[in-house]
Amino acid sequence: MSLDDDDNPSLAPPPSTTTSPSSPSHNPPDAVAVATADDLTAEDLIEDEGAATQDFRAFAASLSRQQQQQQYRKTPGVSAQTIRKGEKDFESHGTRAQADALEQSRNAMREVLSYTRVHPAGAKVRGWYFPDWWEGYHEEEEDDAAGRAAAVGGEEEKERKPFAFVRERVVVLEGSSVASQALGRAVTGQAKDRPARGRDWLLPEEALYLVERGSLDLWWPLKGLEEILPPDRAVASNEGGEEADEYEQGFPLSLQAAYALLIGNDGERGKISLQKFQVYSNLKRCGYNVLRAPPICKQPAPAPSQPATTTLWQWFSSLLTTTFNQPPYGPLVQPGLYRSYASIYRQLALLPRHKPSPACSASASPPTEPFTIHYNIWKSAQKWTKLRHPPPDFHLAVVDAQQSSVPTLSEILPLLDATPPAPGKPEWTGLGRVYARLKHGYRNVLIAVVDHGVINYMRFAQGTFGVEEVYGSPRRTNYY
Amino acid sequence: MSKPAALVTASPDGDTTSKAGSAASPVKAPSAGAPTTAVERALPAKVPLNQVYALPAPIRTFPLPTFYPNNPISLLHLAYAWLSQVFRPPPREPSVVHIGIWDPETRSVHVRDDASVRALWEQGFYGKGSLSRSEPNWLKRELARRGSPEGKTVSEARTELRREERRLAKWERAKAELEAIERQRLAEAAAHAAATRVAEANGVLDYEPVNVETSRSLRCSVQPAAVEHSPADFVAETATQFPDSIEQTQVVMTDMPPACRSLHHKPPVGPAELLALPNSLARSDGLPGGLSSQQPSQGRDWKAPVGPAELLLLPNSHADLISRPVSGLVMIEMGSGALGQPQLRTNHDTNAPVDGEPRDDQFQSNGAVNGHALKASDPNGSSHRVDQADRVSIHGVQPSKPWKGAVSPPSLRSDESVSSSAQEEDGNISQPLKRRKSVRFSPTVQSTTFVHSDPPSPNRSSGVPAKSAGPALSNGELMGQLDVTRTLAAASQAAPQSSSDLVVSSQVDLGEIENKEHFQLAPEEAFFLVFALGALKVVDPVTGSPISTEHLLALFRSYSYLPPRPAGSGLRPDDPFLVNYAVYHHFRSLGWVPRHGIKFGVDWIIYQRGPVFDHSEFGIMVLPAYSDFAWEGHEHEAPRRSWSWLMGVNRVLSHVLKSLVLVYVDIPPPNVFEEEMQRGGIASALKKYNIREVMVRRFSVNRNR
Repeated sequence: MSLDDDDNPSLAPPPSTTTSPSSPSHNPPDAVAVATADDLTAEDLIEDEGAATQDFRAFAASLSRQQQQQQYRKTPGVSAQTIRKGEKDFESHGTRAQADALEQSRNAMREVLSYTRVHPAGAKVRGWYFPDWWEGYHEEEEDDAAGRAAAVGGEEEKERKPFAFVRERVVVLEGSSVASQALGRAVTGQAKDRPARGRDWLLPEEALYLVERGSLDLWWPLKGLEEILPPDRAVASNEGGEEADEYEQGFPLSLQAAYALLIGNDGERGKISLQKFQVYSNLKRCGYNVLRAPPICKQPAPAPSQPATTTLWQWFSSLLTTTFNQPPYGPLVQPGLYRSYASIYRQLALLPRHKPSPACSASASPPTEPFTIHYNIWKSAQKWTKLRHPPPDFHLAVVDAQQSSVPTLSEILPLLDATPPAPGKPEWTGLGRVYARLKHGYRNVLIAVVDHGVINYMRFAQGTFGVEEVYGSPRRTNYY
Repeated sequence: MSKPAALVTASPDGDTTSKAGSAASPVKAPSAGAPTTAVERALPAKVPLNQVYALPAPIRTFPLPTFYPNNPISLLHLAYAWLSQVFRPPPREPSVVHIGIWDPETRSVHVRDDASVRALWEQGFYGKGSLSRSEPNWLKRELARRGSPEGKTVSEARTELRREERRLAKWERAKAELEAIERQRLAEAAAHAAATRVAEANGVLDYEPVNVETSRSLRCSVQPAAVEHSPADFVAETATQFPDSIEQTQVVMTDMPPACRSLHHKPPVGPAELLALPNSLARSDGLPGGLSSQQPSQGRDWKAPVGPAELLLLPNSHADLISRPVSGLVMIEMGSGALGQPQLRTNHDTNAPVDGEPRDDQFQSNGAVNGHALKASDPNGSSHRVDQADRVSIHGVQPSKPWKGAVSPPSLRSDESVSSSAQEEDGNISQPLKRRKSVRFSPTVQSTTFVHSDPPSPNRSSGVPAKSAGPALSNGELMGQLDVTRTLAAASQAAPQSSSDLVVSSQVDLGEIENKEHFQLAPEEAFFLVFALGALKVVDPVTGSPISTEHLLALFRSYSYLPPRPAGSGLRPDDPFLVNYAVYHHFRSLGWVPRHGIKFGVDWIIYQRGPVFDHSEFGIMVLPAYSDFAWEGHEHEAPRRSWSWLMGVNRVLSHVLKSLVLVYVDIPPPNVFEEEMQRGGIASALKKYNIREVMVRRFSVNRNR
């Protein structure tokens, strides 16, 4: 029985879980079985609220399971995942088991924290800060729809790369590392004698993310790019020779300096606002693939052929149905004999209903800042690369909680129209899934609301109430 | 359980407040001559909801029978039905036009006719009972409370039951946790003792009562129920302490959920219990001192518990006994069955410890109040109906008499025949399920003297009944307003009556209840019924003449501002009424059932079929939008909602498992609106309102990767 709205039955622990796994005699096997059965849902439910509270025991157990096996898996069949977070003892009740669990958790935390971090040679790469290198570069804005089609089509995609924001790229990488595989972009089409040809250039958020992560060494150049990264690509070979005069080329920048250089206001070239960087870094750490969304496509024309496609039958039926003469002050339902409720509800229909369609709606106005799509987001997948990837899973706008407010109609509609149609799953048919269809909506967009560094992601979806008429529910006429 | 469900309040000017309180408190028994307007809906035992709520709108349909080509007889059936409808046509629908009365004070439309009320509720879930949550079932609840079996199924009753179940289950869970901890502690102590062979381990884990002689009274009453001595018993004892102020009156009261029928284990929710948890045993010696130091000074000025310390001291559960010095007359009126039971120690009912079904107590109580106390001279039988009466006051005592509060365990309170004026000295209260708080003061004050070490209620059952039987019989005729409590108290003590008597009399009573409830329609609902369906006619409250739809619209629009605006100039296309009505009409015409959602922090909630069938899945926030450029020339204020507002609404809604829908209403500019109003009235003006829904929910990055 679900006890209350606020305590979730799946979260409710078996009463004996106050005893830690160190005392397996008090952990009855059936309780363990229950724990494993609903482990997933419990995790799902907990993570939202208790993301801040780490269970270091679970963390430690997953960190190095081999060493920890003796210590944390005393009971066979109890995996580290069954040690659940989310259950708190609010006071000490004087039992040794509780003290032991606490001490064990502390030990696990110490162990995790004392884990030796190794930076292998290949994990780190040096980057140089050249903010003005691409200032005069002009990149043609690609047609977004065509780009999507190309990405789906696959073959001719090598012609058409995603929009690269070359002007914004300020950091050039000397080499490549694992962390930077999915980041950066080499600017193609350069002459052979240009310096740093073929090198990856990073956007400010990418550079800062790598610096924070510890896999990028950001340097301030004292010489020009031509000297640091000459076009003949001989740097890698004589790097050992340059070891002595390394600091003549430039000097390394601290994390603070990187923040100072790369964080700016919206609209500054080569910088990124703090909110956007926080969202970017949060998404990257959560495992998503994030790219800046290309600028909004100019819709060529909102499909003029749409109204012409009414069939003869539609025209004929429209003749039959739309001829209610609605009296100015009602009643809308004409007194009379009615065979079904459908005819009654048809007379009640008064306000225009919005029918979602793939074409952009009449409001052709472009999205306004901050309610524009800033990032395209992909779930972590194996075959994602920074150059070829499927259409994004989510579209995200970043707004500041203090500077903006809940979008008005003229803000949210263009934002939603900028996203491709994403109706629900095709198997959601029938009245049984009407809630699922309605909740999913026709288009959707994510808005990351950043309030002083705290990020709240909201999903806004275009409602489809206008096409779901629930009065025709068969349950209404089904009396028993 | 953490909330104190009963309050002991007393004030220096207690006498005046007591009179005011008893006069103002609604007396459940109606006057005998009240006109009977209640219509008994002769419902069979179980009518399927699908039949009761068959019509989605107050319009009937007459579908023709289906014609099956392989069954020629169905053609005959079809022809017969069609011909009969042609020659004897059913009345033009909507055949019934209900009458509603516009009420400017409450800005709603009242419906008084019972048939209309039922029809409007059952055919589309319009309106709300003024004394009910939504379905107008005050009368049924009232009947049920007076013993009729009919109203047990009202939704409020079911909700109450469910809450009770939940509380019980929560309590069981907490108990299990506490028991597990206890077991663990005992096991560890045993292991420790076995390992070290030192007796000092007992010093930590000993369950020694702290205050033996002051908790004796508690023990007296507790022993019959608590068959085993458990740690919780110890908790109860430590939680109880009596300041040794002989001069003071002590009222001890408990609030006990039904689950706490036995005292074995309690969830550690009350402050005193938390303090008395076994791990803080080392500090438990200091507990009484700390508590008594927090108590108000033992003088005569007992204040209402408003401060934090007093609130913390309020009794929280059965075992959470706190004795209070009270100087004035203190009477506690508890809920049903709130009688103290003086004969607890002598004739407690041993075979019904936990069986008292909570609703029964409450439902049957008012029948007893309702004048049957007169018949209470019948010497044997079911006074449990009486003594669990709802509105019995428990009368406190005069100052200079020491008496000891004692608790009666709930298992004991079920079925005794009890006297009630005996409680005047006793303060022996078992707290029932139904919590209704008020304070009464007894017109007569009895004085007795007890020694502090006396058992809680000495010779209570013998002396007092004879004393108060007289008043009960004498003033039974003027049963009612001010004397109900006293009469009932006396009756319940003096005269247990046979249950058959009670049932008969309560049957007699059922017809006499006047339905105090009316039905109210929100302006949007009323206007939809008038304008869209034509199933309602709204009349003027003064003249009784019907209000035309056009005038009604102007009325609703002007009353949607707080000082109602004059109908001529101040009305605009973005009147709150018009915006809300556009949303209402939009969803109604799609087949949804919109209802006001203030209880969920939103403007509307929409049900797919209706509140009796399903939970609503969506909460709607209405956001007016002024996207038309013509609005630039008119002053308007587009609402700027902060993000925290949205998050708050969303949090509340997701907590009740609904999802948030922002409904933007694009309002036509005034010139367009006026033009349409001239041309086609409100019907064509409403077509200019554009509605866009945006579904909002939180997105969890951890769950979607």
